[in-house]
Amino acid sequence: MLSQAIFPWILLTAGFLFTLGALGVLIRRNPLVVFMCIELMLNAVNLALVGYSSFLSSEEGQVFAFMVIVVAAAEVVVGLGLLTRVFSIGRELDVDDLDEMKR
Amino acid sequence: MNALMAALLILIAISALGVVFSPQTIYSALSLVLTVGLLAAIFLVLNAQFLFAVQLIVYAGAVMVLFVFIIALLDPASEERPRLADPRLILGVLAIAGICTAVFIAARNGITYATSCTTQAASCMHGYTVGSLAASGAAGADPYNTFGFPQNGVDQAGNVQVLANQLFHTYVLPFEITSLLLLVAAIGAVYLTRRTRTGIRRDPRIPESWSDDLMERAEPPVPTVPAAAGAPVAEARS
Amino acid sequence: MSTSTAALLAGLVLLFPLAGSALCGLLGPVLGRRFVNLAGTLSIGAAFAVTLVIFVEVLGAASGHQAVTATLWNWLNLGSGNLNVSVDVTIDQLSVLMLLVITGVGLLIHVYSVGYMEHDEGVARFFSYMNFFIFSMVLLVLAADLVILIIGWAAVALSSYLLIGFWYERESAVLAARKAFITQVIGDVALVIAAFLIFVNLKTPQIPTYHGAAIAIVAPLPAQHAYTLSLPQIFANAGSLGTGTPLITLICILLAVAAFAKSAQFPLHTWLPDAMEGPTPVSALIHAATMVTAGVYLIARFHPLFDRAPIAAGMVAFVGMGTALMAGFIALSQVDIKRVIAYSTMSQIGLMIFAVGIGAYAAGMYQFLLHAFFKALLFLAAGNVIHAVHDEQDIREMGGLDSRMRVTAWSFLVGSLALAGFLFAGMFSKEDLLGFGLINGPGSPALYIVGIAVNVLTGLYAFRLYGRVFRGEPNSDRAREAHEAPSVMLWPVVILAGLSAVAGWALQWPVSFGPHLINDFLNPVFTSAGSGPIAKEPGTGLGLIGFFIGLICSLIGIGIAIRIWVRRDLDPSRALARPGLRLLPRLSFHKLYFDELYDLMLVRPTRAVARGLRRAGDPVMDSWIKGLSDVATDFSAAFRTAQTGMIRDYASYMVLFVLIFTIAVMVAAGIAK
Repeated sequence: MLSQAIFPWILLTAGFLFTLGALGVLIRRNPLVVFMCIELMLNAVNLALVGYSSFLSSEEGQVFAFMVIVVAAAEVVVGLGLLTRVFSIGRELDVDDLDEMKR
Repeated sequence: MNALMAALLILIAISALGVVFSPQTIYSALSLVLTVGLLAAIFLVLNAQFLFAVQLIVYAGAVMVLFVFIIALLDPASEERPRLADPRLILGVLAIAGICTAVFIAARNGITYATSCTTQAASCMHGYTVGSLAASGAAGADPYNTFGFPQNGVDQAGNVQVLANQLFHTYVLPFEITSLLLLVAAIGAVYLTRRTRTGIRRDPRIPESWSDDLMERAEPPVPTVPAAAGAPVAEARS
Repeated sequence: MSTSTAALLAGLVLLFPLAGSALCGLLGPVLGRRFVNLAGTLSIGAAFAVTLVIFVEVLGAASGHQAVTATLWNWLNLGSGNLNVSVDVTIDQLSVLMLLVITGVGLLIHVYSVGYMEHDEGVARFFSYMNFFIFSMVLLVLAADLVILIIGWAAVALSSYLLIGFWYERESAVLAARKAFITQVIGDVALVIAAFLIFVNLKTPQIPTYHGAAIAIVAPLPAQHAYTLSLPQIFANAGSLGTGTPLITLICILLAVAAFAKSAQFPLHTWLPDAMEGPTPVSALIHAATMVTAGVYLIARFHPLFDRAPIAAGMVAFVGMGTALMAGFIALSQVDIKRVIAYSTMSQIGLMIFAVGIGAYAAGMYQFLLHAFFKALLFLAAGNVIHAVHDEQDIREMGGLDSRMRVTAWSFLVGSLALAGFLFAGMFSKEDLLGFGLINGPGSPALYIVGIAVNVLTGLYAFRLYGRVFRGEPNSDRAREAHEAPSVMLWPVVILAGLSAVAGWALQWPVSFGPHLINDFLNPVFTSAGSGPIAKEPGTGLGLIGFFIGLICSLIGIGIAIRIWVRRDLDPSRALARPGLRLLPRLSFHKLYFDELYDLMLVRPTRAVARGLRRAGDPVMDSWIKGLSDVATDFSAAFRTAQTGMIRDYASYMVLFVLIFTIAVMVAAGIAK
């Protein structure tokens, strides 16, 4: 099956996905794309978890990954509902425009 | 297997790039679908069959569908490319470089992991250091010289049963709380999208409720006309 | 008397006035005037009764009653016993004498106050303060621990401040109270420094012992520090401070300064005339009979130290006699009836201070006793007069009151005779102490000669006062309508007149024949172990001559005064119009310009410094504080720029932190590994 040598690469990919998602959150101005980048980060975490679970032969990682998927789903529902509301009151879909929390 | 895994990882990286850097929103969404699917494949290879199924059904099948729906509904405009001198871009690239390097080095260079191994396997590992034992070449030091399916109760019982066992025994509390979370999310979604008072400027493309939409289809919107002209309208309807 | 009895009796004498003060102060406004009158007077009455018990015990003890020191409770015990303050009381003849005067004369004055304060709204406050004063004075004279003495000393000053400023709506009263208190604080500071010096330098001899038995060795061991605050121990070891050394001279000078401040002697005397702003009973109790004599008591109590510092004692004697002369001179021209009596007090206390300065302690205390009687009498009678002429205090508006206020006039006459030193009180006590001055003290006959000059002045101003107030024709309508005081205000006056008349004859004669009760009573205190030599009494012949010379001088003064102010057949203005003498009345009237001098020397520079500091320092302080707040504001303004409201900025902060954190953790783990 798989050798141990692949494991660091799995972690590397997870890290890469995670930071790539963070970069997307920082760069993109469309909130939908920002949400998708957040989903990318969550998936990266899942990858790391499952990788560890397989590597350490412990199913706890998979349980945790399962929880993460559930939470991600719930979060997407609520977040997209909020976005829809923002759109319906006529605001621009631009994270720079939605700066009501400034000083 | 290793080659398959390596290929999958590379593909994931590429599609992730597509998610972040696509100018059109719908392209980002489709790239994400691809990423999620590839991740499901990796889960399968990594002996997480249940998660493979769940990932495809829930993530790719529900979450991403929701995303695509919303993109279709809102039809957002594409945005311009980010400036290269944007400090956030630089920070993000630095983060990628820094964190990836750190993670990779940590993964390779003998950082011990302690695990609370809860399986019944007598050969469950504790404190296994990645790479170090293999590098030292000590034979018997690594009870698992392959990443295979170790012959223990985990493998024999099957992935779903094992997961279910954990989920309903050890982790029943997080499980229940997560279900509560889902309930809250559902309520929140209903609340956020209910009809509001009049006076807020509505986008005509989004119906306040389904019943409104139905009523509009049933009766085309009529301008206010005197009753004398009502007769031809009624005829048209019937 | 056993220590437990002493502790009980002393505790009672302390407790009754304190309880009276608390009751009058707290419940008085609620329960009304009658309660206050009763409680305030009965508390002192009870204290006087206990004092009588103590007196009888002390008298009845076997000959030579030794001083009894009892501890009421232990207050502080720090530094493994090095700093031990316990509320100790000492019962010996000296403290009993003081107690008798304080509670006895105090009781009479409290009874008088019932009538005097009849129409005053603040009567509860008045009796509360008066009782508190009695308590503090009792604490002062009973104290056998230096700290307790200082506490009593300060409490007395506080009571004086409260009572002088009793009518606090009057600005003059408030200013007078403040002046009195500030002057006395100078004395307090001197007293405290003296206490420090004693505490640090007092040593007890070390007795070398071998297996518990004292042995004699060739060279004596050096004395070890005693670190005690208990007065008996201080006096027992007073020799360790040296005799005639700079140390003990300094200590005694500081103690003397404290005594001068409290007893209104030069140069700390300016507060006493202004203290007449208080009600007359206050003047009678505090500024005649008791508080101002606390300085005399202090020197008498600390006689073991003063016996060993002849320079300081000499200074005390000079200051006392000088003040007596100065005060007598000023009293000649004052026109406020209470101020004349105040300066008279200053003068008589000067004589007392002189007496204890030359070592004639018993004589000084005798003068204190008799002076308490006739001075309180004079003040209370003056209070009657002021009451009768509707709060007029200027003697130029009085006159001819002897036919309208017979009892008061006769009592006042007795008091004036006692003061001037003929027939009653003063004849005995003053000549007694002047006789000591013949052969004791620095410049022995010189001070005596000044003393008999003081006698002349005393006779002069005493009968000037009597003549202008009571004799002649009334000078105003108010004087014409005067009437006698109510009986509650008359009885104390009469009793005091009786005491002044009889006490001198009964207690001690300044000549070698007759009773010498005071000497017999008090000398054991002043000849106890640890004290130095006391003043020598003049021999029979010299003493008799001195007595008669003093008596003649008093009579000269009285006679001149009667001719000028009673019989009105002598007019001094022509004599005083001659060039050299023209200055004298003006100097006397303006109190030798001391107030103006102090204002120039002390008050104005201090005010100028304060003004300068305010001009220079206020901007600095304001800008400093404002600068602090500006710094905070600027910081917060700077930090606020981070709150852009843009999600991307917040996300970048998070990413930045995660990056740094990850690398830091990895590095730390790498290093730790």
